[in-house]
Amino acid sequence: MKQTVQKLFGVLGRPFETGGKLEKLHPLYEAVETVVLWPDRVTDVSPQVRDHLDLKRFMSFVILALIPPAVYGIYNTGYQGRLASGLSMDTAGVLWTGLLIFLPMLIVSYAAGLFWEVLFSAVRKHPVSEGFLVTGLLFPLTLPPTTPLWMVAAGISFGVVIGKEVFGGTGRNILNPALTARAFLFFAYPAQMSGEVWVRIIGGPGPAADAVTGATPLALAPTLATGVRLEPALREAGYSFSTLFWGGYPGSIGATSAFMCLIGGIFLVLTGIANFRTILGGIAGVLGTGYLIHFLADPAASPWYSLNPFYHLVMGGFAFGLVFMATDPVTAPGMERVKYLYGFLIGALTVVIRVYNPAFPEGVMLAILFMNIFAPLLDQFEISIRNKRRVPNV
Amino acid sequence: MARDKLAAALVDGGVWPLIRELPFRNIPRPDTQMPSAVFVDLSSEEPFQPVPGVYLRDRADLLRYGAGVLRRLAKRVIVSIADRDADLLAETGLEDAPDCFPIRYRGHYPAGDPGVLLYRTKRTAKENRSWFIRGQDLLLLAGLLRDGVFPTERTVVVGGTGSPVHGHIRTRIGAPLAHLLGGAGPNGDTRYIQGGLLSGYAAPREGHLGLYETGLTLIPEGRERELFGFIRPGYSKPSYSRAFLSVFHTAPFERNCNTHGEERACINCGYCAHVCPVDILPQYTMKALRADEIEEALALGLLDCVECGLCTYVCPSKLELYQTLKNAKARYHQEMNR
Repeated sequence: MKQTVQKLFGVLGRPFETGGKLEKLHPLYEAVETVVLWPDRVTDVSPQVRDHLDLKRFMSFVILALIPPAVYGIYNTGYQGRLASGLSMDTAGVLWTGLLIFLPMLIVSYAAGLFWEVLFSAVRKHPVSEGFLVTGLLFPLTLPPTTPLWMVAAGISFGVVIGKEVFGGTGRNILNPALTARAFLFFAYPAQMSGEVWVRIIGGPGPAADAVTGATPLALAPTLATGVRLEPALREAGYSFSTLFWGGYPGSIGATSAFMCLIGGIFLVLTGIANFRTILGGIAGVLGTGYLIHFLADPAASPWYSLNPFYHLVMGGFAFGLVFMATDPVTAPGMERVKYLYGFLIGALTVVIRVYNPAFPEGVMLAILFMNIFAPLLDQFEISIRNKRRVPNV
Repeated sequence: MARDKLAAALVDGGVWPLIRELPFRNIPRPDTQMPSAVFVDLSSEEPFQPVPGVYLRDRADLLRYGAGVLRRLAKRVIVSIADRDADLLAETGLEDAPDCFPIRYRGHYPAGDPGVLLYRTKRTAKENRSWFIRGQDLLLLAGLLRDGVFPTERTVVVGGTGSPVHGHIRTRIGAPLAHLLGGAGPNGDTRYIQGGLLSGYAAPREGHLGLYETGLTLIPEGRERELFGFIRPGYSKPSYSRAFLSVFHTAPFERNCNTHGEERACINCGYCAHVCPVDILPQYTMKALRADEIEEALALGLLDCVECGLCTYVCPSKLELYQTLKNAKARYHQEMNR
């Protein structure tokens, strides 16, 4: 079996070699080849033995962790779509509808992103990085199912090129590329992204519009009159705490279910791929800031003030962002202690943006991007303290 | 005997190079001022290195004699030994010797390295230029002074998956590697590693045992390509991370020289900083060095590097951190001694 595959790649690879017709596309060929056949490189300098972990496995574990939110997201997208369209609700049909909505978005995201990735790799003559496989999957999961495909392509192009490649590619970027892409769409096409309506109508006996209207949980508060308590209003709109936790409501495809993000997060922390410090810090930040507001602010002044802070953990994309975006090692601080602070500030900023800035309902996205920029400063802070403690050796 | 005469005798006898100076691990100049300490290194944590119980058998008195010699060369003699070997220390009688400070340490490789012990114990920058000598080398040095004969004996461990011989071997300094293997030794897909599995270097099959080396490890090259290797459960794939089923595997693993992945940019995962025994941040030091920020690298502790190789071993981006840091140290040393 292996010999056959090796021979096959030997034949297929010929046009991609130096002097071949498709020489320029060698990074693309190499990326495919090394996924199927583990490279045979051996050490040429000490130490002579190396660990089995590499970036392919590192990144593929993030993809594995994204499977629960993705599968549930497909189901939920199909479910909400069929519910609004008045179609039958059998599981197979729901999954099929969800797939029909999500799969084209995923394919467009990967194809458009890969195009830029290969282009930059070919020009720079370096291998295609595995980091893109994560970005290409993360990005469509943060989108509402109503996002048109051209917008997916535009977003991922911006994310990959401006968020990552202009800085030199994976490992050198300052901002998380998937979030950069999401933020680009958020600011460039606010009408589609501002947290109204996120159910795709598939046709059938239901309403004939392209989508149904109805505020997502985060967009609900600004629509309420002052003095109204948010929790009963949420419950009335169908967003009880358990609904928000399990994720059975319209929203970004992969980000509605805090439970699925919890599963992915536990997997990433247990395997050591994501750092638990950022996640703990984030939860503490939300609860700390949430309780501060809850106890100090006058509940009559804003519907948000009366909210139990635990709601913030399960609302919107916070769980998804904290588990999958904030823990991105490239854009998070590298030092261990400031990771708590980094996470804490993400959580705190998320709550502050949600509560005090109704124009930006998706607080976690801006909070993470903002803290991405501060990550090097936090690192510098801890490193300088650490260096001072050393007995100098020069 | 006066210190300078003793040093001259050691130089004449050809055993002076057995003493080395931190942090560059070079041979100290005999005329330099007295170092604050000399470490006698009785460690054996690295795989396939001789254990002190073997080479010290019936020679405890020679070690004590050697320590007495060192006491004239440095202000303090620090004998470091793993906690599990501590009864050996009682045998040598070094525990009660004046100016002799035994250190008992616990931990895995490279806990017993003199550089690590110095880093953990030093209080001032003056101590940075401490000396060290390996336990076996001290026996050689002491043998010359006591018996007047140039010592040639070496206890070496031969092992590894690819080796036909396993165990301690008593041989001579500079012996042909094939000789240690009792004949020609395997060739082709087997790598010969002199020194330890991690800190050692690849040697040709026709090579000879280096002066400082006390181990020969033979492991397969591992040039095979694996189908979908990156996503297999990996029960038999050892890893520092927890991303393989091998976390449940407690039996010894078979190792090879495959890099298990291709080189990528640093993603700042921090594994290297986690394993560094002297709290250098190898990822930031590497980046500082690539940007020619030598002061920053020094502030991060570049010179404390004990060249253990763990940072490179764990790196998922397969970056040659050990080489980068080691070469930078060497360049710095050259600059300073121009």
